[in-house]
Amino acid sequence: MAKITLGCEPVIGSLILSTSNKKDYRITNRLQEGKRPLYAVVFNFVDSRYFNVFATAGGHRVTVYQCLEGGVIAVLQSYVDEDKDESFYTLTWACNAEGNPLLVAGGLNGIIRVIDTSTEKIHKSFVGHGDSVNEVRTHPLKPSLVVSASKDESLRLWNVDTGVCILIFAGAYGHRNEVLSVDFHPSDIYKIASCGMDNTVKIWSMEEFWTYVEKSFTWADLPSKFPTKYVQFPIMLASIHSNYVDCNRWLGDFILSKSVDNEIVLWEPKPKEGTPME
Amino acid sequence: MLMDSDVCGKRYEGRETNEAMESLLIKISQVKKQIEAARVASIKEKCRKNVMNVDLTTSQLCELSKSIKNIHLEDQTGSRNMLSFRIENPLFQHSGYAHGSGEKDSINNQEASPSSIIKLPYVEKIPPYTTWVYLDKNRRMPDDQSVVGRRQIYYDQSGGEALISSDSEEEITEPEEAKHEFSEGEDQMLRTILQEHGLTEEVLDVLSQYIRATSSAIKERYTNLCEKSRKDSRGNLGIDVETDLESALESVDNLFCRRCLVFDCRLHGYNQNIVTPYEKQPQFNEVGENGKPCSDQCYLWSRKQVFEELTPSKIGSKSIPSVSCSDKRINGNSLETAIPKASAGAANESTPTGPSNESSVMPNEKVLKHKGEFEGALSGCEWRPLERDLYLKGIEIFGKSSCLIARNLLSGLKTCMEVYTYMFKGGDSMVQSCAAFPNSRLEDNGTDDNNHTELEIPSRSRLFRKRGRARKLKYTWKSSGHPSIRKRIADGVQKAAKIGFGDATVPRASVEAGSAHALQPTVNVIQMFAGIVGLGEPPARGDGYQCGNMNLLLKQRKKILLAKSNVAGWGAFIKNPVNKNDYLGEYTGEIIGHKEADKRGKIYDRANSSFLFDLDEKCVLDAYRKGDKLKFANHSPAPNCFAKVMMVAGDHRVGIFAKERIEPGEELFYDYFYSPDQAPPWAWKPEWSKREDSSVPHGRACKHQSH
Repeated sequence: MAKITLGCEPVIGSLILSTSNKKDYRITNRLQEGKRPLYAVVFNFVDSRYFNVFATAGGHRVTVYQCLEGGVIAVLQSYVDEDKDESFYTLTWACNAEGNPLLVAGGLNGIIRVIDTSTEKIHKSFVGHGDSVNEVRTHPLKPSLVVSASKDESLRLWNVDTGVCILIFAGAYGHRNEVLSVDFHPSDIYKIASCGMDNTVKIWSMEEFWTYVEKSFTWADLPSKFPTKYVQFPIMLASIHSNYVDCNRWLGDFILSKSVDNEIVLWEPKPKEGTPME
Repeated sequence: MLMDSDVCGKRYEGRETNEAMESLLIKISQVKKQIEAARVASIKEKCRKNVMNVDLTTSQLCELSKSIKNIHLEDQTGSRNMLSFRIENPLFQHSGYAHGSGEKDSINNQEASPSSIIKLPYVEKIPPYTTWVYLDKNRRMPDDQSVVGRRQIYYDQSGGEALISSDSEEEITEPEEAKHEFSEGEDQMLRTILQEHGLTEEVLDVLSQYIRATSSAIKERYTNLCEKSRKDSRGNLGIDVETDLESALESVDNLFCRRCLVFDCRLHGYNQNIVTPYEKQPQFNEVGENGKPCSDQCYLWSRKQVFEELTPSKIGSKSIPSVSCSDKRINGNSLETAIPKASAGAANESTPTGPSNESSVMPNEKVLKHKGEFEGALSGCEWRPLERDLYLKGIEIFGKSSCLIARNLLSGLKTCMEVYTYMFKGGDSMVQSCAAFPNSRLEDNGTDDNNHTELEIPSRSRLFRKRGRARKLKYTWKSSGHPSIRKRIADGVQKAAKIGFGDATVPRASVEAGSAHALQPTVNVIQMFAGIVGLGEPPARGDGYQCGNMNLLLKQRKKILLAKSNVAGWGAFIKNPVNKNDYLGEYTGEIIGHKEADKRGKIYDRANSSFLFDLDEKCVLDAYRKGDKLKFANHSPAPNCFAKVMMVAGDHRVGIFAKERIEPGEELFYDYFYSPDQAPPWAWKPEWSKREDSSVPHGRACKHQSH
């Protein structure tokens, strides 16, 4: 726990179990997929046609379901990686230029699969990470952009449409150990927050390189020829936790981050320093 | 409150102090509560605003996703969206539970029929790779990058969790009392309490209990705060004039690296030996450069009368200043008489003569009249430590020229006149020793610390070039094998040999040959000297002789390509053909100590990928995060390259050289030189005898050997 000084104390909230009100949510169905653990479940937030469609990733398989009335779950599609050793860790829904829904999966191999669910074929495979991919997230305002966090201590920004790797967030001031989680800011198109096994949460900005991002949408040449840039300096670095931080999400302008030592902190990143709040 | 009872337990003398204490405590707790309450309120406010913000953004996102839907609703034709199709005809359906029965045993098993599974084609993986930063020369590791003390969790293959702390229980380093950072709330508390109750020991004690910082730290902080609210007095120089030269120049002394000629040297770190440049003291006369007064405050105005009065013809000669100097001291006050006259009149030659006559005619009267002024001027002149130090430096550099000193060093702080008066009033003692100083230096050859300590002025270790000729540094692109350089080296060697290597002299030749740095730690230079040339004349190998060190210095590396290795992971490949003994490149990396290297080595060995390279007894190079492409060159018992640790310009560096001729596109290998007990399995040599224990050795590199 970071040293708390007077006047900077966080207000400690407690998890109150409200037993008073009736259960608002009920289990309606349970599914089991083989023997392997399921690592990811994602609803499609990108396209409101498919608001009740979700996908799961487990082992070397990715499956797409739909929730129907009466607790019925319908299996829509199922994809299996030929490499049996692959284990998918993360999933996210994205969207290509025409608006077709894409499913982006990443896992142990470090290869990111972009599956076009409208044609049921693989659209792109991104090879580039030097180690397994821990998390993939879609940009809320530009659903063709996807950022991936990996065990090789880097974050990569990809354009799923044209298949180029736009930016790599790593280097001198990048993470010094695995990056476990990453998230886009809901309204600020430039900000990304990432956290990892080096106990830090880093906030990056794509503002300087936004021209490259724009360029990626119209890149017609080979993806390997795209001038991928390295972003070595985050705009902010926060050592709020004293152990691995394995998940962080933006909540408005604040960040909720969770660490292995049973601590969830909601804090506000100020341009100069972050102040832990709750 | 707990605090109260604690404090009341202490004994205070006198009732008044007791009451004062109590009120103080009450006050403190009040302030604390206020601050806390303010804090909670601000947090609540922020959260509320945030919630509004979140609502706003989510509604935006919702709109966005709906828009996508709308795009599609519009063009129904053409795109056959499989997903929508599937929605119509799902592969399978699992019925849900009936209401109310939450915990049923039956679980719907999901096994899609084989025909409808869509296969994702196999894509080949790339070998593990961590993003690294390119370094063209070695760099010291900054302290915050250390791995010491960090605990790492490892997961076994079998799925079990193992918590392995990198530093284990060998050493439990005491966490140092971190400098307490005072936050806003604490500042506020400090201000209110201390203003009301004053800055006393007891108050500080009590406060330190609340704030958990030492009372001296609190005191310091309070004084800082007070000062901040007042305006600082800053001299024109932009530095606080209250300090002295030493501390002002501290940053220059500590941060400037004389070997790399940069500030904040990444390679050599801080706190290098402080060296003062040796400047021969030019015997400046006090007239200055050209006898012209430097400004209207120049002492020369006063001097001029005395000057022309006595020996008008001997302008510029050395004797005069001393004469007039002594005159001045005797007739100290006549100086003063001239000043008002001179400054009143314009700067022309004629006026001085007038008043000078006057002054000579009636010195006594004027003396009495202006004596007060003179003394007033002198005493009113306050010399602060910084100015004193600057003045001393000025003497060293310029000699006794008050014009030069005032103009260059003390501009804005002191006028030429003031410097001059200071020089001859109180500065005398210091001036004398300064004057003596250069003389003594001239006589000493090969002085080092021992001699200097005798002098008053704090000594600094220094080297100097013996020969007067060697004032200028000559940079030569010719290697030390070049005939002209060789000759000079030979001369230098002979002369050096006379003196003996035990001396601290730096022969000039070695300065030219290997490096462009004049000021170097002696030991290294001599080593380098010996390394490059050897004791005696350099071997006359003819002009084809390649100096390996020059290659490293000039970074004449070859083009290296990075690709998947035929052997393991990534490998380094050469682009163009190279001959035997060609310099290929330098293995650069972070410079770390052995302890740090051991810790990092443990982590690397787990991953079976170590980039550690032993440099010398003190340092290890780690190319994991920062380095050069050559770090990817793999090990082989039958290599085509070799690595060599060389001393270049005072630093140990690793050069990779070709052992034989290599064709383009060939992979580079060199022997890592593991010792038998530290080699990883793939590096075991067949000639090593079988070992009894087959435990996994910690193969720290070559490359580096773990303990």
